[in-house]
Amino acid sequence: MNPARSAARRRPRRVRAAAVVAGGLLAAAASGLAAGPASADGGPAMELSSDGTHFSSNREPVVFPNLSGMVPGDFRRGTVWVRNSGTAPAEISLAVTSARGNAVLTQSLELAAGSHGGPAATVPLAAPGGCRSVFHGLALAPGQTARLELALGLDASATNATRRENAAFGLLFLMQEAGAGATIQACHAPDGTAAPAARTTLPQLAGTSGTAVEAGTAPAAPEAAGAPSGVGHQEDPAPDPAPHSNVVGNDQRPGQLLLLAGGLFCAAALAKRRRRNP
Amino acid sequence: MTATHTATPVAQPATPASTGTPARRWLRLAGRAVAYLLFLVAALAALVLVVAPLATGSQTYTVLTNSMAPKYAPGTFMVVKPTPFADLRVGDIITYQIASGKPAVISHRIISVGTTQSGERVFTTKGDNNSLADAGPVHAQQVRGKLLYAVPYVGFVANSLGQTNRGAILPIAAVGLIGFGAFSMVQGAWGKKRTKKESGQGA
Repeated sequence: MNPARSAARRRPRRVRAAAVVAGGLLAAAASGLAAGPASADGGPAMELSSDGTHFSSNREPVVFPNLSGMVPGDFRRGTVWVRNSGTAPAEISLAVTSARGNAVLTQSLELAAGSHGGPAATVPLAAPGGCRSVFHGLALAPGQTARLELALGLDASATNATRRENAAFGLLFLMQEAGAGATIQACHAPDGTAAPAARTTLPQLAGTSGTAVEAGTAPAAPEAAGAPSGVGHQEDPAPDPAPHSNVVGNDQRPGQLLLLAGGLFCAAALAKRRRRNP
Repeated sequence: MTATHTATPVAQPATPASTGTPARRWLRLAGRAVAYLLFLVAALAALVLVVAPLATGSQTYTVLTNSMAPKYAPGTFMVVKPTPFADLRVGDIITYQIASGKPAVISHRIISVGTTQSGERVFTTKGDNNSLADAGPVHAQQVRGKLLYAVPYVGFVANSLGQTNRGAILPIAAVGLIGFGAFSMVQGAWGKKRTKKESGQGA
């Protein structure tokens, strides 16, 4: 038996469910959703489902139905199906964004994700406002569906600072055309930094973990994250170096216009003089 | 029957081309050819570097690094035309903002099209000379445009002319050209007047 789970059962009264269970649901952040399949030219198009039957490209599924009342060592499982509904082979990337909440609690949470025959990993959540790549490069043929097993765990050694706190996180899926020779990670916002979940430019607010934690008596539970089979722990990835500009704009439009006008006038004057004095 | 033909010497008016020694004439011709050539180059440069970007509403950039070498080496002058995001395809070279709303930009080639979970279309880009793709996906709001054409070598000149501390060069050059044109017109008018006067006195 999982010691973390048994510890959780031993202390049911100590777990306060008073915290706002805003979710655990992968909320339908419909306000930020764009419509329809992405590509009009036969590119990849991604659809998600929480039951493997009903897929949608513009509605985010519920992955973790209940994340309230977690205690150190506890973990919750979730499943999501990802389908490549486009006409080209594609690759899936997954990242987890930490939106808001208690920083200590957030950083005590771990997300494990994996699929049969695909990449899998366990990563601790980044500090609120940060983002962490879970995996990338899961190949999907056109029409193929992948079932992803997810688990969110609270570190067994989480401190008292996590008690009765809340944290919010989001799952960020990115599909890109396969065969490009390079795979990008889902964890990059338009500004080149880690993507906080609340960004409106990248609607990835996919889940809210409302947790109430009583700490201090949690037993050691190294498998707290309940990693699916084949999931290994991934080193905290080093942040990518900030990209540098490789071009610079030539801002000289007024001068150019003036120079052009001057050149035209000069040419006209010379031509006129030539006509007068052949 | 015989016919006699008497050649009568006629004084030909002196023209600029016919005056001087053959060497001077050749020198004059060569100078005129060089002048025409320079004028042609200047007109072509004005067309490619100024008129076309203005006419198409494009922004011009100068390549600073080797990430797109060898085709677009440092110093290449790039004309980037705003293009609807939906019209962009794999293989296009786009210029996009590193941070949305900020001036720093990157010009790289689209190597892959992707989509986010919300259905948003995104691009993966890479420099032709880079081994790795750019780290993050490129979103619609980042894209400034698509490369229309590029001219090698002249970018640094165009860029140095446009720098803030040298910003006066272009207006000064323009004023110089206008002044030279005005001077030529006045000189031409004065020369014509003098010629008329001389011919009147001669009659």
